[in-house]
Amino acid sequence: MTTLQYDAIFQQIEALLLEYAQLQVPIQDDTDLINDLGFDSLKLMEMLEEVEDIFDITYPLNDLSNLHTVKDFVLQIQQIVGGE
Amino acid sequence: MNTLNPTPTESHIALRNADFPNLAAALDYAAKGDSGFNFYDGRGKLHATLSYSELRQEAQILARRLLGLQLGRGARVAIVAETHPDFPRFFFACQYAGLTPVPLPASIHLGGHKAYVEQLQGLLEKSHASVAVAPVEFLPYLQEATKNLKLELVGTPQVFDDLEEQLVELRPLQAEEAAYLQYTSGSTRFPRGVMVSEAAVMHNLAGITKDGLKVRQGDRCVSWLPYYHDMGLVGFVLAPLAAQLSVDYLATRDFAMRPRLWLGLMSNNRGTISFGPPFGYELSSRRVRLDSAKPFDLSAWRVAGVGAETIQVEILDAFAEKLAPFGFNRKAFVASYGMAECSLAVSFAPIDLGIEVDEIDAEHLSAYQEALPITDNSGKNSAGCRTKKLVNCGIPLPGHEIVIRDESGQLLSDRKCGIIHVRGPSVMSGYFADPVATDRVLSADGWLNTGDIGYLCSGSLMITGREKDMIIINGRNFWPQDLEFHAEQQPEIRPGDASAISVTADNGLEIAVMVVQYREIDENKRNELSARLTRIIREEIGINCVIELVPAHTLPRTSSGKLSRAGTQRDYLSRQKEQATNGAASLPLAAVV
Repeated sequence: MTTLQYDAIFQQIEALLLEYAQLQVPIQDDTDLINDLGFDSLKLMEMLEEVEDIFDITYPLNDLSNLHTVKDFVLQIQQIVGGE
Repeated sequence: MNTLNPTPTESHIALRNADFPNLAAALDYAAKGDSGFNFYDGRGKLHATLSYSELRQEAQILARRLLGLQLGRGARVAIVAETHPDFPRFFFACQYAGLTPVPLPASIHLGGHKAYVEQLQGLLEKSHASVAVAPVEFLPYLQEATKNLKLELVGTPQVFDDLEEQLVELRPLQAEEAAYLQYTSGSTRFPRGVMVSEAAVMHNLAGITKDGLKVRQGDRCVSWLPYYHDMGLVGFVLAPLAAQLSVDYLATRDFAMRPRLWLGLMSNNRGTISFGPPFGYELSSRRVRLDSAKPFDLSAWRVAGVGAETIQVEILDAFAEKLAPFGFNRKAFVASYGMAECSLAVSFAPIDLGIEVDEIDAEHLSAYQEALPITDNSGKNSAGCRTKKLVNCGIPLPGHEIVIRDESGQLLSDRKCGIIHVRGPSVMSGYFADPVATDRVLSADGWLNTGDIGYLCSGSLMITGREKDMIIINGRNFWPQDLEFHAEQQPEIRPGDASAISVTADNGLEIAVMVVQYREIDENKRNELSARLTRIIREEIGINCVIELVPAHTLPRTSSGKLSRAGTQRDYLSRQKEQATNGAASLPLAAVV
């Protein structure tokens, strides 16, 4: 798999975040998953199942502990996709 | 590439139901057979196996390495309890070496780095741990947590495996020694380490396997419960081992991400015994998309145990209905009651009968603390009152007694609600290094005050609530003081202005609510404070908490001036009811997982 560009990942993540958060809000780099989108671990896990399938990756769940913003999330995925 | 095969269901040795003097002897016997532990990854693929004979051999080698550290008999070995073969290996190395294992949580929450490190640090301090071990991926957190602590050794399993093996005779933990320390809540400020002796846990294991589950040849266990939880550790590591059963494990987080893996394992490996809190059944029936192309075969599942939090019949009904086409038999449900303070199990409902409910007059119960049965099925009794269905949690394990007492300690008769007290050979020796907390719950004549509320009917136990203030979300225990502490750290909130409680949401699951006194009337400031508190509780505790801001002097207090959480709960519910009748939104379920 070629390394996906940040913007391409962002777009896919944006769509998933909106679907799972069930909100219609603008998603930006600094949008906070917990505070702006109301995610918690369990809800994010539900979404991660789809993230793993779409990008064909295994998301290391310890990364959750340092995940705050959309940018953190996209960068983590970019790194995993690039590394696999 | 070699393909791994799971350990067989048949152990090929005579079944013995935990009739051993200690855990080491239980493993010595299980090691003569072929059964053992199997570990599945997040895609449902088997990634490691550990037969009981391998476990015994490896645990004894590791025990001899640990003895080189000369930690002293009973010294605490903290183990970050990831679902991995290293956990049973370290746990049983401690058994053989005469050390006390202390399972630590291996659960990481969204944005929860700091909170997790603080939690580990608190538990390491409270347990006076001498050494600590964590899988590679958890090591950074453990290192951070031990930065200011003086431990003999902190590292990955490899660091311990590199120690020199001592040529000494092993002296396993004996009947009166603590088999392990079990921390019952993730609290950073109020952790309580339950000390369970070898004799106590062996008694409980015999009760669970022989009397509760009636284990037989051909049984196979499946579990996604965390090893740092009493049901995961005692119920699905120690009990299967003590009855020589094979177990298939799925890490809790893999279950949370893909609940269908649980049912897939039950189906593929013909699992017969599995347990979960109601939340596990709820998550499964909500999330599993049934695909007729890949059907499950759940017909072998004979014990679908339920415990760890208040059992709501509706959740189990939904699960049974959804999975019935795949061979799930609702008679497999077994309600149980227990707690770490009694090793694990206190009572089981009889197997093969499914969930039995006692339908009672709800209004009479709340007015008179008495559970009057109703006879017809209309949902109303003859006087037209609301009714409530309470799950029969069965009779106590042999050798154990249950009594119900009122607040002054007076014994109550059948169907009278009061505090559940338990006495028997599985009860803990006490809380580690905490005589005050121990004296509060354990009487001189051996009665354990469980802090749960219920009643007896012809010897069977029904649970109606909790006297203790613990909040239980998704099977995890939280103390309200922890939530309130974070609120009180905010400049606008003074000590005593926040009261955390749990209430039952419309979907039958518990949610946390914190009622906070706040004088400010500016809407923006109020919203900002609510949002901030919600965020802090999510980050620090890892749960969603509904925040309700109320005027000063709203929170009810006891006659001695302390916050009354029971009163807070009652008032909160009545405000909600009032709002609902006035057409306002009811419980904000969007905040619930």
